[in-house]
Amino acid sequence: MELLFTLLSFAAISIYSLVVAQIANCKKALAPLGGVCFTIFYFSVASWFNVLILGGYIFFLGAAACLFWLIKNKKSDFWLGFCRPSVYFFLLASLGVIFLFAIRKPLFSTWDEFSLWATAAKLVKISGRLYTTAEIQWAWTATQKPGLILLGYFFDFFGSHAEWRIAAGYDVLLFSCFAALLEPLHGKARSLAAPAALIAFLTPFLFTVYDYYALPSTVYFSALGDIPMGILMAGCLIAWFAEKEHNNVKSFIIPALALFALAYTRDTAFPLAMIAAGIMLVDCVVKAFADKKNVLISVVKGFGLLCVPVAAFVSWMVYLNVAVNVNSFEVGGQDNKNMISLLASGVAELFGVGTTEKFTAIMGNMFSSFFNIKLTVFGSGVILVAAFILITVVALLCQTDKALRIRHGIAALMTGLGFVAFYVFTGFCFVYVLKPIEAESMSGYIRYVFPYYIAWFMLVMYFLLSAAASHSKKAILVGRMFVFAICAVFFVGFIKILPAKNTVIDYYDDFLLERRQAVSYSQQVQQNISKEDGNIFFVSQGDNGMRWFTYCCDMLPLQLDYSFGGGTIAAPGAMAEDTLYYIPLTQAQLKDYLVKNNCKYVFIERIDNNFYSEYKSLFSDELVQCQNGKSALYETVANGGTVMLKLVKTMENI
Amino acid sequence: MKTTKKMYSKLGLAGLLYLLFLALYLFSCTLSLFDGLLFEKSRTQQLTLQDFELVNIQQNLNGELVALTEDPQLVLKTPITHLNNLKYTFKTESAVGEACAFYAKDIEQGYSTRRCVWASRKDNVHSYQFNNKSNTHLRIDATNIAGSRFFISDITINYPLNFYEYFVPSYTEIFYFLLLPIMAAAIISYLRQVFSIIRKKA
Repeated sequence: MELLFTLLSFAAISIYSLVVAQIANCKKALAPLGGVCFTIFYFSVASWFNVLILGGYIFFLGAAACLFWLIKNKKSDFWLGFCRPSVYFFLLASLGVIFLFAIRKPLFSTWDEFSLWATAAKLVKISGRLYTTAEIQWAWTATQKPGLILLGYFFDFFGSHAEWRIAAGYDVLLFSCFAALLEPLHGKARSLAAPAALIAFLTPFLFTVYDYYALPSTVYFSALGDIPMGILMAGCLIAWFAEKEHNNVKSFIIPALALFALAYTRDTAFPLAMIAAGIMLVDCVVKAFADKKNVLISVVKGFGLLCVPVAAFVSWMVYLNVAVNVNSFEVGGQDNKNMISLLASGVAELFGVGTTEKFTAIMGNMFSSFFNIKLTVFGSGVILVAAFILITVVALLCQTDKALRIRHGIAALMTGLGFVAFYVFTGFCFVYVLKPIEAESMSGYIRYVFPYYIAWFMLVMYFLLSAAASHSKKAILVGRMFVFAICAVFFVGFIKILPAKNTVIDYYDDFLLERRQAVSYSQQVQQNISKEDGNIFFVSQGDNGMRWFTYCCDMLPLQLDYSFGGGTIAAPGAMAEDTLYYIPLTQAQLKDYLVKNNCKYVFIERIDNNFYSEYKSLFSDELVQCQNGKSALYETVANGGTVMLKLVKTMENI
Repeated sequence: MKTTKKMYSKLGLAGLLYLLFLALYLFSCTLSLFDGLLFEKSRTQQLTLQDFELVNIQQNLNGELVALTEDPQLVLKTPITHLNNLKYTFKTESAVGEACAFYAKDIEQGYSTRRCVWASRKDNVHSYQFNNKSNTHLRIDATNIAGSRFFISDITINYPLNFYEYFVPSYTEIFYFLLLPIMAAAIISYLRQVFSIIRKKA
């Protein structure tokens, strides 16, 4: 049934793709991107007014009405227009992923997914409201932008919640951008579509996995926003450059929708959206000069595009102010600066006004990291930039249309300048937002910068493909050869560091064993108690917080108590005081905590000898089952001054 | 009808190559089937725990094994001439944990995660597919949970496959089956374009 409902969502998005393509009168390859971005926009608006469920039903009814209208009014020419490699790729890849996920049912598995993304997606599903206002028993600072989570919600709309459906939604977004990349490849150039599609498919792997690793990569089944952010930035720019003319409002529809969706993917996507809009603005001006048209009008048009991410940013800021009374203009962190003062301080220090030692050290680190940190399979940032320049040069050499050559050349240059701005901005974030220990170790450096590299690469690939698609000798002998060469390099890189068994294609079952166990335990707990019964205290010895976060998500709608954020509970003095995640508690303190925090139940995921020896007398069965490696649920029975934990259920293993 | 014809003409070469690859795949499966039918009985081998060196594992008198660390290992004492698959029965009261098997031709180089096969589970039986490795050393990591208590029995290498198991492709094979013919078609089309340019020049 879940598969059927997911296919229904996919069908709805496909229908809206056709409608958006019809309204925008755009290239057919851009239709999927238009459809997906429209869905993100629609559900974002619905979420502001807290009408997600009603909005969802209207969306599906609208899709049915649109389909009826299209079948009745459109002739075969309209449908044949979509018979091109880009659309085939979008349909086949999306359906392939949906079917694969429906069979294998992958689950999320990384820290950030449980601390925000996957938990937020589940909260939206079970409450029908945005996660920002959700009731949760710990400091839930969910002010992250909701675009991707709402896209996941749309794929999860009917039927029961399943994480694979959310991941499938993310993948459909990626494939819609890849379809846009394949836009020039039709007619006689369609033979290039296969290598180009392979390059696009492998891009997220090769730009995020930089070495062989025994565990499977979570690319294509992840709820995180980093990869979609980079690919969607490329999607925005491709949607813009795919149209030769931007003389009417219609040609702005898909780039504007894509810019909005990009700005709504996550907080750090705002600079990317502004850079993308800036590149489009410059292109407007270049085009006006080339065509000897009124430059002022083009500048106004370009500023219109810049307004889209700003509007997205402001709308979310207003929503947060009204709904949860949070000022998202402040970026938080060490100095608690707002965006403007972060930029102003950063630029001032960069130009030597009040430059601190910290600033110099971190920016120095950023500079050397560009040369030294291997962040993709191909090497460090400098190698990537050199490769992008090479691809651009080949693309420009093979481009037969002089006007396009100028536009693409300037766009590539602007993307490079945009990278410098983005890179410096990332440095500012390290200086002012992140903790000193994170800044010193450049923690998360790769994750912060790779989205831009992906976007840059896809854009120059688009320029190369549009040049190689022409039928000149140069395009065929050099351009197309170069595409095949890149494809070969990607394919070899993929086989070398990522055998298919370490990817979404054929990951081994045991990879998600612990997670499946958690889901199974949570379901068993849900069968025994209801949300109204009270909070659940969580015990998992040896946890570093990851298992606590995981169970917080899996137990929903049941509420897991804060439970010290997960760790090893033991008597004071049982472990060295500075042991990481050690929670010293006497038996009396534990009892007090349970009563004070309304913990009506205790879920023991795993115990150790410290826990067993200190607290066994609290439990009705003296933890006999748990000592044998079992997990169990206990009920807190408080009677006067005494507290006893009564065994409710011993968990069955999967 | 017109639309169908147009689409068919677009898919011509690729369709042909898909058929060719399918034929090749079926041919290789059939060869494996014959190989299995001819040699499976002579290759099938039952092993006991005595054939293994137990590392980080304590064996109790009743045959129960206790994982002393998160990395309990059963290392086969002698190399295997031919290793196609492996299965054993794994029983435990506690959580099962991850299970994998390493193979290595040269034991001096040690075991590597690049030569590691993960278990498939059905009921209590763990099975591994090695795809016909010869003269190889074997190490089984049956769980990754320290303190786990379990029983391992019926260890069989090169057990006979069912008829259909020779023909069911893995996800990896399906991926490459989808990818390779279309890539081959793209390369052939491209070469045709290059040759036509060269011919025109000549």
